[in-house]
Amino acid sequence: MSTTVEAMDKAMSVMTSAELASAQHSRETVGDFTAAEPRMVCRNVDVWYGNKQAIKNVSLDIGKNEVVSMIGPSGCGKSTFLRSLNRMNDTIVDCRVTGSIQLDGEEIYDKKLDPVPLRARVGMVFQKPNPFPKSIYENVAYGPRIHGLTNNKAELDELVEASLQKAGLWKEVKERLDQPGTGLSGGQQQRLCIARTIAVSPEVILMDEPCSALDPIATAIVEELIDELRQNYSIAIVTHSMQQAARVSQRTAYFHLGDLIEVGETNHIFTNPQHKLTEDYITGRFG
Amino acid sequence: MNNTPSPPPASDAPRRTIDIVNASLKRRYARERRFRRLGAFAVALGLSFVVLLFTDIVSKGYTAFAQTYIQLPLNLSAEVIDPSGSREPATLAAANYTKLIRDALRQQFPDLTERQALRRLYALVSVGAGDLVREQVLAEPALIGTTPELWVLADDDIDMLVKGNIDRTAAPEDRRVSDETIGWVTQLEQQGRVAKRFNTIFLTHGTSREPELAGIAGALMGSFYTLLLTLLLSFPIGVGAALYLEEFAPKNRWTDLIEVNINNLAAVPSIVFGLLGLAVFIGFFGIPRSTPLVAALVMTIMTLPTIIIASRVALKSVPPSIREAALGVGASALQTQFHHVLPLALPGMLTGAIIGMARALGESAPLLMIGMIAFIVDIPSGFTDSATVLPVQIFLWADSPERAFVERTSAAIIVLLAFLFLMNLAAVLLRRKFERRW
Amino acid sequence: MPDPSFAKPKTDITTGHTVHRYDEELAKLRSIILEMGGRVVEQTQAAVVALVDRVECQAYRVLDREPLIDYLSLDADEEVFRVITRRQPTAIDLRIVLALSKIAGEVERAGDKAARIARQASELLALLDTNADVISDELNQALQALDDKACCMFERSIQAVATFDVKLALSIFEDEPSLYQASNAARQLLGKMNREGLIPRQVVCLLTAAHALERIGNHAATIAEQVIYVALGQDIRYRNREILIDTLRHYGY
Repeated sequence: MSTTVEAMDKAMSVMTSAELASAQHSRETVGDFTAAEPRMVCRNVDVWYGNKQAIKNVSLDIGKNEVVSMIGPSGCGKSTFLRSLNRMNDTIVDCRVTGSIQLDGEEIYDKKLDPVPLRARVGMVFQKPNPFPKSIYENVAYGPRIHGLTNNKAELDELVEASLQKAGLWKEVKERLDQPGTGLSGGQQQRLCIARTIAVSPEVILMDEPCSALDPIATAIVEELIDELRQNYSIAIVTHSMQQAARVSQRTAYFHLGDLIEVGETNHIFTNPQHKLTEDYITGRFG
Repeated sequence: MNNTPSPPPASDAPRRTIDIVNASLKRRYARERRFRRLGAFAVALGLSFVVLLFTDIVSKGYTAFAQTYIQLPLNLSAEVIDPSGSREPATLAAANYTKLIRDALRQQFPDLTERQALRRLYALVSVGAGDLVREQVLAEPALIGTTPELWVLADDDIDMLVKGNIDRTAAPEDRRVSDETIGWVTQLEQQGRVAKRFNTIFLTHGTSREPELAGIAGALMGSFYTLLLTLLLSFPIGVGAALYLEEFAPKNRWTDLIEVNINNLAAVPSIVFGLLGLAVFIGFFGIPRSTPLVAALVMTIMTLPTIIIASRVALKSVPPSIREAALGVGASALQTQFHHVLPLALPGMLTGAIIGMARALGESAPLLMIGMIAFIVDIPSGFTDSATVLPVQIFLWADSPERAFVERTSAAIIVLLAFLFLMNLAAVLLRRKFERRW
Repeated sequence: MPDPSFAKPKTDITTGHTVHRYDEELAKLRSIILEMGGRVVEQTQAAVVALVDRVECQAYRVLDREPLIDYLSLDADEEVFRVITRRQPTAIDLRIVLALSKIAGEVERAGDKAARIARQASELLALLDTNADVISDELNQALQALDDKACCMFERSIQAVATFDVKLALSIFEDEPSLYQASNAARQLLGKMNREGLIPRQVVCLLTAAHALERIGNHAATIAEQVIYVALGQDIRYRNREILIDTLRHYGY
């Protein structure tokens, strides 16, 4: 009798029953999750919020010069997974990440690795355009300034211009760089945020539903921009719009309740998905 | 449900929603109107109390800004004041100016010879009048050798009489001024020798037992030093504590405990802080009592919870998207806080700080415990000089029996309110300035 | 080694959209095509009756009804446009809409073939007045057999569209050789017929009708290809039929 209790206690100390229950339900991923030239390599990633497992044993690569889109119903963990890629989840109390996430062969959850420079290498664009309440110039110049990327004002000016050019915003704002970034339209703000991200020359850009607050025209401009940015960066994008995933990405990953259900060529996923859950989700049979 | 049989419906068609809505609309609007009227009434009531308070204080206090003077021809002969002719300040200061004033008074009433009557006559002017004349002569030595018509400070009873606060027609035993004195004053008034002039003494002097010599400058400076030091101590500490608790501290049982205690501290009666100051700062650390320094320390402890709570609220109201944006471009936690979060939270923090300061300015109870109630005539010139503060001064004056202190109490309250108003104005202006930072 | 991409779990494709109107729109599109298919079978049989049993009025009936199928195909096209613009179908829905659009074309063309048979029948009957009973029972039977085969395949292909049934589609592929056999038999007889005193014009009529029947069977096979495209997501046009049949059988269809 007592031995059974002890054994149970031992098991509990490793994993609580809730953890055990949810861990058992991890599903096999359909499709090839590897990329030809991977920048970020994620293997068997679990993310826990306290006792709740948000991501279950996910393996996914983000390749060079490709856009990987992550789709899935709300609460499926796609944003959580995205945020674990630049350790943005560190700010959340109780959040644990296990498994291996490598950026160019370097383990990003290594204890010795500093998340601050990591976030300069893996930039992030958020759902709601969130420019700093400063001037347009300051918004873009902030990152390079704190990282000391430029030596003098002229270089900084050049970098700001180049970043705004790449974000397709230069023509619209070059006359009013000293005006507040918050005074721009929603689409311009989001492009300003993209300019701010690329000003620190990241290797990978993570985008968390970057167009969800934008109108269709602004969305189209940002999507066009994403397609151009693909030439120089690896991009992972979380989106609620399946059409957007189909338009901008080369590969698509479908998440469901913390599981990565299916990964594959975007064309393939949207014409002939292999998993029933994927099919149900993208054809609108969900729930 | 009412039991009276309802009239049959006009038609068999089902009642449309719009009819039902219209039927209840009147009731809804009536309820709305009632609620609005109630609100307006509450505001009016509150405002009327404020107006009542202000009119009472102002009507009682505004007369304190004028003071009665008696014009007397003073014989400032060089032989009396400066027999050696050296014009040395020490010599000039040593002269008996009170005697000069008394001589001048006697000249005005040459009929009086009886000693008792003369003493009553001398009481027309303040006991400090001689000192004031001395200051005047020291400032203007050219007066020596002439007989200028100088305005001499009247006694507080005379002041009250002239201002009409003492009823001349009342029975002699019901008033502090005798018929004889009233006669003298009337005579002087007829000669045009009595006038109310602006009361500079009230604003430039420290307190005094004599109402006509009492001023609030000492208390004002005491309050100023106390508040300055309080602000310098409590704002950085409060903001730092808030920043740490809100942004850096791990969320565990200890920080929960700290948070609960801070909230409790904000509700602790202020007198307890006074007792603490007495025991710790004066008793244990031996800081001199009744100084702005110890007052500021006590006030700092008292205002810290307010500032910490206000600052935490201000930090919480900064949208998390700004933090994410900064972290996302690779700013460290400290850079995120100081470059982005703090500037956005500063207006709220300043408001909290100024509300705390306003509370500290109006606080008297804890200061009574640390000796600020002492009677201090000198105007403090530093943090370690003995001092009193405005509210304590008001408390002391309100406790004094002289009739003239009533108006001075009110006048001091006016000054205190003016400063509170200025501080609130500063809060509003600062917030507005920092909210638009481009 | 069989192609693994055929191993796909069956999904319920007829219902289940969060937006129920979407289901209804797809069902409507499908019902239009099923109706077209039903009419084509009817038309074909009537035309063959006109040809074989020499019932002239049947031939005119077929020709009268032919435009109905054309109108239905216009309806089907319109419904396809509507679904695409409204729902932007993806995955299986996209395949259903694309396939149904193609199937509508096939069915419409099969309808044209039925009309063609009817036209040949009326022409033949006009020429038959002078010398009756020239067409032998043997030839009649051969044509009847070809008709049975083609109609049977076409009917099954329409049934397969109703449920996107891979098994039915497979059986159509399996029937293809017998269709060609029947068609060859008819053609060979017609070659011999000339001795029986048929004028060349009559032979051409009969040959055209036989060819049209064979074509109807071919349309059925094309429809079956689309059914498999919908159900399995594999485009199997231009593939070797025998290997395809083996592969499908391997996966249990």
